[in-house]
Amino acid sequence: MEILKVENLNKVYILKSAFKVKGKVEALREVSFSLNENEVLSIIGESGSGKSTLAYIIAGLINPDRGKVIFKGEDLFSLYRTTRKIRQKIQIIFQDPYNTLNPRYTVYHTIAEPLLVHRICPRRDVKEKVIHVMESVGLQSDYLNKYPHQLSGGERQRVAIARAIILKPQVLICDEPTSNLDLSIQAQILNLLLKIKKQRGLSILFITHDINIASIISQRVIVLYKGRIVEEGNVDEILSNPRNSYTKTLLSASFL
Amino acid sequence: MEVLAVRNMRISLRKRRKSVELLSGVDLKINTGEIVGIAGESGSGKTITTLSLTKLLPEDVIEVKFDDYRINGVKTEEVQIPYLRGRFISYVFQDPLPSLDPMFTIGYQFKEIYTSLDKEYKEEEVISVLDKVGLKEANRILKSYPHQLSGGMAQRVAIALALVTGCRVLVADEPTTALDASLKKSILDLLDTLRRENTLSIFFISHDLNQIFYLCDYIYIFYAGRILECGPKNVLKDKALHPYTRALLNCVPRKGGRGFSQIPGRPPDIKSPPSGCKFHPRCEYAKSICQEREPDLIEVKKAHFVRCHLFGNGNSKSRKPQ
Repeated sequence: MEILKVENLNKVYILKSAFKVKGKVEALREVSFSLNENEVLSIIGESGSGKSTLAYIIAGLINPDRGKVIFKGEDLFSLYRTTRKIRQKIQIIFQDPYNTLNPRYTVYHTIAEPLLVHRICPRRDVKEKVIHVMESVGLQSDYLNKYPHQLSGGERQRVAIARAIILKPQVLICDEPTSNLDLSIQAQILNLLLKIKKQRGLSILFITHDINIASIISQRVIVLYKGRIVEEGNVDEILSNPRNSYTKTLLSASFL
Repeated sequence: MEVLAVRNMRISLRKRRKSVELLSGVDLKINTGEIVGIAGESGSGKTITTLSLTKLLPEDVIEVKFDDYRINGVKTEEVQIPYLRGRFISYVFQDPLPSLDPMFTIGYQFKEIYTSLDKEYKEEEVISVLDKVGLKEANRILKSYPHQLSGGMAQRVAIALALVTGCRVLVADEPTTALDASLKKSILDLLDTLRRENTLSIFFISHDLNQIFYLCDYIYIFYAGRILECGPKNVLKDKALHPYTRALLNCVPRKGGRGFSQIPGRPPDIKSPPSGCKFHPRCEYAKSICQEREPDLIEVKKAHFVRCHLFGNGNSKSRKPQ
């Protein structure tokens, strides 16, 4: 079952100096794909290929120039002005847990904020919900009153995951969630994501530049290059028999 | 031929009359034309080890001590160590753009190195070094500013800046972390050519074991400011002994693997490290002795050292990891 569909997305960034347009960058060009229920779909590409732009558009953080994002039959960008409901269903985890947590918010404050913004439950139930979600990402309740600077990278990323899943989303976008973490912690976070996916029946859009991780975590991959989809299909097929020359260079650049 | 050898390096941080030990009992050795890999998690002391080789640290906060510091087999006095910077040991850092000065052209930055080492500027020398690191349009590059270069070019310039002084030892501190996947391999291959053609010795620091095993001849595994295991590449790849090394190797995502194996827990806090073996709280083979006493670094085979109670002295053959 298809849960999310992206149709002909286009996004151009215009570089301006003070008085004139200096040039433009085509971040996305005619990108279309669909995400099925309960699926992990990986998007691979180098920096500048438009991976993050795609993530931000689907999460509703920026608007596309052209194209549609359809969630369960409803167009996201026609709805955004009027309802927040749909935004709850698509959540995002960012790359760098050092910059994406507010340094002046405690862990409790960070995780509770979405509940308050979306007015999910009465205030007296918030604490209970926060503690419950913290347990499911493996944080003890004594972390409630800590600040981000007191946490390690892995713990911060756990907080970010807790903040994303507390709204019970159906689609989770992970924008390189482990590229700033150590090897031993990276595996912890990826296993946690897989566990949460299983428990909650999430669909995950997993953005990465590491082909090896993509091959383990997902069944289907999309390769982005300069804003275009150059290859799409089953992981094992693409790994064993890449058709596009860019996919080949990416593959030859991964070691072991 | 042994180029550089350091014995029993200790580094401690002095802060508010308290002393925190960052590194203890580290022995390093590198031969001519060898690439030595230093692997470990963040905070394990990889970077500080190599920075201390030329005392490139604030002296009022950090204390560096050596038992023995030898260059080409000759003992070196401690006061001379800072003078090795650039002359004998050069550095390439993680992110190339911040390590270049944005206010000056690349050409000026090359001249600056010559003046700071009291040498005469020779443009042919600079151009030949740029050629060596794979930058053909030397004249254009010398005239450009750092922001006009791409990440890969900037890293090549940084390597050229390190080499132009004719150093014998290059420290590459995660030189590929800030670069794209498709560029990483080309920088590693460049380092490999440099050591072959110029018999340069390279310390390669990384937390990516894939890169370490691709490039290095000899590998040190750091954890909490200690060497837990070191040995030649092939030995560590197939016959690693220390539980930490084995766990770390298992964490490397492999093509088409099933699931991710992880190391439970988190790296120790350097200010209050655990007693005994620093890895025991996360170790699945930990025994009571691991909590009480820190094991020594023991040579199990030729050039292969392990710091673990499970090995050596024959004192606990029962639960060896399989």
